Amino acid sequence: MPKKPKITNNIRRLRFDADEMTQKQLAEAVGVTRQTIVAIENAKYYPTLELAFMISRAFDRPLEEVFIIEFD
Amino acid sequence: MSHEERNNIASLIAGLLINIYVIIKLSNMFESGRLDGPDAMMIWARAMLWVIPIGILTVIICIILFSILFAIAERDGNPSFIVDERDEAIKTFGMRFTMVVTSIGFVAGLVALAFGAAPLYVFIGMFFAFSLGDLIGNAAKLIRYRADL
Repeated sequence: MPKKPKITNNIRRLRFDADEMTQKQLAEAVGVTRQTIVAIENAKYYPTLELAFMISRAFDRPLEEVFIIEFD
Repeated sequence: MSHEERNNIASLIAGLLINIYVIIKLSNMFESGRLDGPDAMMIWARAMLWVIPIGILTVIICIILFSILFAIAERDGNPSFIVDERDEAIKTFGMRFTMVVTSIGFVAGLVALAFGAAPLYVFIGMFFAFSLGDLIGNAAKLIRYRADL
């Protein structure tokens, strides 16, 4: 059975690059709570594909630049 | 703290209050001998039917009070009422615990009936199994909310 891939993200860095966008601003931009953004940033919650695309669109970056999947 | 997390805490407290109310009510009914006669099931059922609107009202009051208290505590004049996909995922997570506990309670009740237990005690046991399931489900959601952050 293949090992579960690890998913990380660059949201914190991308927020910093986007004029130090706050977690609240990003949450409002994609229509979720700030707590959900915190959980995603800390890799404690994996968003649905729809939310992942919305986050990447909020930063105007491709999905693979926001979320990184690592296969061992 | 998100809107759903606040509601979850309010529901947990309301659940505890309702259970305390039911325990006190049942104790009084047993002490007064009202549940000793042949119409004990009918009296118990009528009392439990009243618990439903009382429970709904308690949850609503707790949610309103908690919303006001948290808005004051967090000094947030414009609290968010957003419910998102993570809230839905956590709700499903909590529901699994509720289903397991209530199912165990229901089956245990059926087994007790099959072995000749008094129906009144079985129904009281089932009622508390459902209440316990709700409390455990809400507690599981609260733990999940905190663990994710």
